[in-house]
Amino acid sequence: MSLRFDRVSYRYRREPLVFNEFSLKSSPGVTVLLGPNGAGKTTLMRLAAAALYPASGTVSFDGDSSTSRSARARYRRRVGWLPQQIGALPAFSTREQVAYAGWLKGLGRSVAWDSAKRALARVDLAQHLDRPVTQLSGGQLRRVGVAQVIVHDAQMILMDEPTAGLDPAQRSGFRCLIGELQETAQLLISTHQTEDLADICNRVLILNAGRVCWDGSTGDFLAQADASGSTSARAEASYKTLLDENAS
Amino acid sequence: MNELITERVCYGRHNSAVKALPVVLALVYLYLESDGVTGDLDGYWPSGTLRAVSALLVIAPVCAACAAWEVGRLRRGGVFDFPGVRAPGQAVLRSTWPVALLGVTGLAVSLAMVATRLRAVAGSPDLRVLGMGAAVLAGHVAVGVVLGRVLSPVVATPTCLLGSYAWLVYPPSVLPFSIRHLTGFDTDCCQTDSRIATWGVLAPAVIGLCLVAGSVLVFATRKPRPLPFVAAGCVVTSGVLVAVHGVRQFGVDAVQPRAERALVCGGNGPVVCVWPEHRAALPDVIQSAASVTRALAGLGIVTPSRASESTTDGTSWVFAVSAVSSASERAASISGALIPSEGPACQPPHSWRGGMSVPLLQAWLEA
Repeated sequence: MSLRFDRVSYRYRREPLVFNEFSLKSSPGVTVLLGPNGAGKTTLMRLAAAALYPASGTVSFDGDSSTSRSARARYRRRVGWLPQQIGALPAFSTREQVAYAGWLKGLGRSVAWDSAKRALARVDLAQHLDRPVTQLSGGQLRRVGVAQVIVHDAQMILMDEPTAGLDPAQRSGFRCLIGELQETAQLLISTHQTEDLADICNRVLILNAGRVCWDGSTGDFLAQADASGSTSARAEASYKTLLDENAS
Repeated sequence: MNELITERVCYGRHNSAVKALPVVLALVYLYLESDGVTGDLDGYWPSGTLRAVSALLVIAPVCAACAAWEVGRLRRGGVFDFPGVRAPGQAVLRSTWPVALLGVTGLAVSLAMVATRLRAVAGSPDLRVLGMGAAVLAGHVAVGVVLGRVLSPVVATPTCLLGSYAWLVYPPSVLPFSIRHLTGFDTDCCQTDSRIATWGVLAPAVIGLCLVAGSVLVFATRKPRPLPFVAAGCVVTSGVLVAVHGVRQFGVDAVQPRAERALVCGGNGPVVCVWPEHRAALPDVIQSAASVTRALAGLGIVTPSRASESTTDGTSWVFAVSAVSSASERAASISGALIPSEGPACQPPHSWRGGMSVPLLQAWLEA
């Protein structure tokens, strides 16, 4: 069971190619996607979420292609996506918003309503079920986004900058949640913040200019720099080293 | 089960249609209570149904605005960018069915209010007209849905409110007259001897359904792309052209004569036929017609053997009564109908001296 990019090409209108014959296969557990701004991380996430379709090639999950009309619904049902910007539905309560996302992902209304309560409890928002979603803080809204991803029990979870806007305590809670989620789903997490995720991921991908310029285990990644100290410091140093090597 | 009910109630309470319901009901009440709207229905259901449907004047703009607001809310919430299993159209339907229900409720209340004033003794609401009303309402909601998709709710909502109202109100004041028959707003039709013409009903319905079809095309793609908009524009333009073709021959009123088989007849000297709405007045009318016939026969004047409310059944004795006429008014109508009130075609205007005798002759016949 894996997410596959097979010879995928994509370009935005009147822009150069973001991906050209790009291939990738996900692996179980948590994969962190690193890369500088403009590397194509968000585009890759959107292609994987079936929010965009490749100009050529296929994106598939366990045989279901995002571009096939017959398999698209199954594909989307199995893949959850946390975008960078979480849209808050005006006048909806937190629970309604999450239930609505579950309904959009194909759950029945009553199932979505029940699942929303459970999902919000998992992201520590059980006490805010009836609060208007537009009144939540940025960090709370991001956790609502995470609840939207897990409300329909996705098997492949895509998170684009999931810890942006979270305070240190929330980041710690988020790491625990990631630990829980990887028991039932594969995760692909795009981030700039290496210090958060080096502890919990088992694969690191570095994307630059639409190509994977480094792919390896977390242990190998941390060993790339001659740094000592905390895991976060080593991760940051390794990332810089690999980017510099790629640039040269 | 309780959870599900809670979900439905929670979701429903946020819909703008729920908040707009009292406003729509109040507007329908004020509109139908206004002077003349339900004044001269004569117990005639097609006329009453058209007046009830004319309350779309206040219902449709509110529904269009609510639809624009609801779809705008989905747009702001990123629903159309969400890679869901359900199509954007399903999300739109979930948000706009309360709006459609609001419109149907408004129409139902309007029809009920008209029915209480109609005091109809025959027939039932005109289903063709009700169908046309539903299609027009759907068309206005569809426009609201599309504008809510492409514009900010702050712009789309007032645009729908004003645009929808202007479309219903303005065409009757411009030429050619036939334009007014495209909107579905008609408070003039009909007397009991006529009914709304088929194209008078079809034209607004065709436009409404084409607007719905256009809106479906726009929502067939997840993102607003030019091609579906062009296709939608073609569908709506085609619908308007078909509708214009259908109504082009109409003048002020899009009416056709009522079928004579509906007439209720009685008496034999002469045979008197009235529309079923005036069935209760038939004995009075028969008596008046017999009296007039006898009086004129005594003077050697032969009257037609048949008197009728229909202008198309071949009789030359055509009278008109109404459900609220008094016995003396009916008698006057019966007797007066025998007198030519206009001069012969060969006479220049105002030179027909016989015209001066008309009131005297009518008074004598009534006596």
